[in-house]
Amino acid sequence: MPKWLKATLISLGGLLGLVVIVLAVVCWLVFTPSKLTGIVNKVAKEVVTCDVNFERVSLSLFKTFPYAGLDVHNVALVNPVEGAPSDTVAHIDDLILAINAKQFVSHGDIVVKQLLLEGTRANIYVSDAGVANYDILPPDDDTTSESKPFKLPDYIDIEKVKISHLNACFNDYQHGLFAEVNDFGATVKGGWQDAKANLDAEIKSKELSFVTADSMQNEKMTVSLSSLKLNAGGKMKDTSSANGKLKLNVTDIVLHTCDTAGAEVLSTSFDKLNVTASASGWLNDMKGSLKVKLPKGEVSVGGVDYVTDALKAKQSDLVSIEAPFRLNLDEKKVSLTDAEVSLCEWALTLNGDVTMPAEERPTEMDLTFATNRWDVGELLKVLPAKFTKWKKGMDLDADLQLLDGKVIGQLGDSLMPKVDARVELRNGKFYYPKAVPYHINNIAGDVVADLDLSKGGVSNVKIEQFDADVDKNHISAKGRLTDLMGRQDLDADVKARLNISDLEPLLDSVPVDVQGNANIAVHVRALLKNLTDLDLTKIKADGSVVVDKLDVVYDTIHATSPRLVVDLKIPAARRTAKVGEVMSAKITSQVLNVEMPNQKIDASLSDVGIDVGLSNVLQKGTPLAVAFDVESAAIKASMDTINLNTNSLAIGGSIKYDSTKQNILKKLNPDLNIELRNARLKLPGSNEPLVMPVFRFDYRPEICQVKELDIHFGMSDYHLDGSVSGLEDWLSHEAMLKGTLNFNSNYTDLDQLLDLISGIGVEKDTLERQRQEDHVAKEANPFIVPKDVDFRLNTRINHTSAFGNELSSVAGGITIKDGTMICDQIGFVCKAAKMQLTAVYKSPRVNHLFLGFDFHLLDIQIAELIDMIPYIDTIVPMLASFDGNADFHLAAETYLNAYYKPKMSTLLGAAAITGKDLVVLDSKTFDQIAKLLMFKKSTVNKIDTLDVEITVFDRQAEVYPFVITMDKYRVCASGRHNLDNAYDYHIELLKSPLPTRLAVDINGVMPKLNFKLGKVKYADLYKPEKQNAVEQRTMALKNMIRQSLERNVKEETRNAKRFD
Amino acid sequence: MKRFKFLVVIGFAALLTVSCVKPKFTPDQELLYGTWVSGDTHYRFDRSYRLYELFDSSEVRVNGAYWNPADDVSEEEAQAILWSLDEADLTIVKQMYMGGKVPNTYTVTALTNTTMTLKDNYNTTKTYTKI
Repeated sequence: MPKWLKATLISLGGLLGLVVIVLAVVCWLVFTPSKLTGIVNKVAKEVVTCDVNFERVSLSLFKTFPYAGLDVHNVALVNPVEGAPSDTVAHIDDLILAINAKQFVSHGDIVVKQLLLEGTRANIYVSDAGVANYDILPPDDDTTSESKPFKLPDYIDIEKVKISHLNACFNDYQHGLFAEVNDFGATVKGGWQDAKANLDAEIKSKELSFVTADSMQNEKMTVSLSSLKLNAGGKMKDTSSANGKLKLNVTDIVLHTCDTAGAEVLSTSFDKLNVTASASGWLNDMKGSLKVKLPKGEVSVGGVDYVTDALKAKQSDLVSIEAPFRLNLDEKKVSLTDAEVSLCEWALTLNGDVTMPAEERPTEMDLTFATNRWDVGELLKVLPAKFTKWKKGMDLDADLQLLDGKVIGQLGDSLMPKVDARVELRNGKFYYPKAVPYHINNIAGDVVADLDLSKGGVSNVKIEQFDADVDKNHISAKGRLTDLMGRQDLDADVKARLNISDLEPLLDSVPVDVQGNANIAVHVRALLKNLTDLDLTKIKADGSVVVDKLDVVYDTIHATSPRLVVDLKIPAARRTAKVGEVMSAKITSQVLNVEMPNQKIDASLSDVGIDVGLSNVLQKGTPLAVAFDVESAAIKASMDTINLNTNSLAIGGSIKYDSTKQNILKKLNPDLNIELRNARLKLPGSNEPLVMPVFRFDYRPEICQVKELDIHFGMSDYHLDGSVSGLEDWLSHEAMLKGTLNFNSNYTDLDQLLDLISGIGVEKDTLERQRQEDHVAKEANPFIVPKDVDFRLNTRINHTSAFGNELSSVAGGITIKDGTMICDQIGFVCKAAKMQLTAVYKSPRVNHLFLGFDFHLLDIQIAELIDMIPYIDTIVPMLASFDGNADFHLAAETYLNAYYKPKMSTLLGAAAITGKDLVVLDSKTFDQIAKLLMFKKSTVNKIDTLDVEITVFDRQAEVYPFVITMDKYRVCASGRHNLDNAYDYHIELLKSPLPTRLAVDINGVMPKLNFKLGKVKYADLYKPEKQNAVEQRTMALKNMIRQSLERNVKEETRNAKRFD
Repeated sequence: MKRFKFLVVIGFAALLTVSCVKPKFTPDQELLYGTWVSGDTHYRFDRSYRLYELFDSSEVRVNGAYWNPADDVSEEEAQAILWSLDEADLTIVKQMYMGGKVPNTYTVTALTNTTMTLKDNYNTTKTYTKI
């Protein structure tokens, strides 16, 4: 630079500086603070109606350099209003203002070079009547001219506005609005030119508080704001058309709301909140993005911390939002494109439109959403404890692989948009023993939800696939849950592989122990509540269950099967009032084993087909009741020592289980129709099986109706029908088993039959004890009449063998009653006579058996009588001497020992024989008697009548005096003999051609009898008018004996025709 | 003379016979009540009657029992009797369960607190001891 230029410039600069200094000194001297303060105060009092005081106003050159400004110190506006907390409306400690006054005056432009407010205090008050203390401007007297609409200046340039330490309160009692700001600071910079605007603002406040609603009844909100930076820029074409950008950075906001009692309602603290919003475009199509980043923060609502410790511990930002959007302010519509909202690692991506509410139009949404992979377990951990109380004691976790869907519809007070969502859940696990006593793992589900949450809307869920491992079991399902928020109607196909024993916890009210593996494929339709309640009455289901290695113990019933196929149906295919079936099943199995150890019952059924209907056994208090039709190709069964095999079994009926009862029939209450074919029954003590070609019976409680029972036993055949009752009480030894059966047989081996039924109902221990006490050897095996039974058999037997005798056409009743067997008035005919037999056999002890007969033979040939009952010849020895027909009555009884040997001291017998026109056979004995009684040789050996009464007692048979009239002779005979054949008889001639009466005494032991003449003693026995007391008594006894015997003869027996 | 002597002797003997006939023995029935045993045979004569059920469920009155332990029969298993005493004539009717009756008549020839002697129609006597 040349020297002259340098010198020139220095000179000019010095001159300029001198001019500036001179101007400044001039201004300082002209506009002294005191003068300026006076001017300002004067002008101010003209402008405002209240007291206003500027303590000091000075011209500022350096503070506002290079512009001149005003530096105001201590400004006070005082406007007393009744009710206001203070007379001072505002007080400003320091105010520096520098504006371009020339530009404002010449062009109307607003150019604020600097506006600094320091230490401001303001009290804004509006009374109930609407009197405001800030109303300090004089009223406008010009009421005629119309007010001009506000017109934005063409140019606004705010270079620096800074407010520091502003404290203000705002009390609007008229509108119920109250606010307070403490230590508020703000920095604003902006401009407006050619419809373009820009704004940079920063706000800080120690505390902002708002009290909303009238009469201070509602909430109070306080905000502490450390920094809020706002950067906005844009261009406005007109009021409805603009574009611009907005950036907002907020750090450390603390917000509290509390109710009037001071209790905290909401408390938030956002640490380093960063909100950046930018938008560009016209108001009807603005493109922008919103970015929010909140690394840390706290939210407390009603004392509940929503940002939990677990959430704070997360490394990622607490909340982040990155939302590109398009905004149509005309339509109030926001369109999101891949907007992502995240709470730590849980992100939600949104796409679509949201139209904000306008007049008579609610919010409208058309959004799609999708989550990232959510760790449900982690999510539950970060939720406030208040919202996870339900999870106490529950182990719940899952991977929410995907949650996506659509939200379409209107959102308003009574409107909710429709939500279509799809959920993919993997690796879930659930354990909550209070509700479900199982560990559920590997839960995987694909669910599509169609949610309509509006009033009256129906939400549905489609389970496309659901899989879970329940302990060692696997369950899968597909289906649909209709009306999710209401009825929850499930329609699903469920498949499961179950270890059945794992079901036991669900069946705790049912005394059942089940083992086995089940493959289940069931279609279920029911309300979810009914399913969880296992209310079988309200569930529809059908499907199949294949059970392998089934092992069930229900109370005392034990059933096993290697494989069981169950076709299940709920509700039951048929329902009866008796059972109340709620489910039915068709069960097929190759082999089904049933045992009841307590009853010593063991049964094995093959090729089983069972149609079964089951009562609502899952309902507490409802007993197990089963209706069934059972068909089995074959059955092997045993009960105690009884074995049964049958080729075919058909059982129809029902059982109703009553666990309070002891014996099996009372427990089961069976109502059965049973048919067995070709059954073989093996009874203890018999090598010969009972073959039953057919056995049909109906069993109802208390009575068993035997419809048809054919039995082949050895050579015997039996056909029975009738009824048996009291089986239940009999089994529990409470009452006798009663029955009335018709017993028909072509041939019956009675001995074999008696062996078969011997001892039924008598405890083996009892018999054994009796044997020991009575010293009875084992080889003695007498028939023990069944005890505790009361059976009546109406017999009709064509041929029978009994005790060595062959009988034909036997008919009568046999009663077996509690240890007593009565062959009751059995009538039968043989060639010998019309017969009637009543026989009684009792077995009170093994060694004390009772045998009694009441035996009547009418019109019997004496020889056949003796042939039939040889023992009669011993009792009535002279009977063999007669020929012809007689009536024979015999009652005899004795106790027997275990070998059927009579106990002679107990032997009693009474017999009566009546004969007419008998022929006395030639015999040595008769000859001897005839010789002694001097019978003529020409005497016809025929007797008119014979009436003999005989008794047996004490080993002696006593023949009461009887009379024989033979030709011209009338003989009376009596006597007794021991059963060892020692005789003592007396025969007396009552009438004869002889002039004298003779008597013969016969003594001795057979065959050596002594015959000698004896004394006559029966002269008047048959002359009632001459009888003495002894003779009267003798005849009375004879009569008593005969009557006691004849009273038992049935009329039918008397009238029966002889069999020839 | 011989015939006369013979007639005198006969007549005297007849007189002696007539004059020596003992008055008939009338036992005291009170002494009869109780249980009597002869050998193993036991009789029990009861004061009162009881009903005894027959096989056909009809009932008859009885008032005693008999049994023989030698045949393994106890008193509880005894058979029923209906007895009556008419002066010295004791009638014992064994009541059969089957309905028949087996009577026996005896003459009581002696009866004390401890012993009783019965004679049957065949002049067989048997002495019982009271237990």
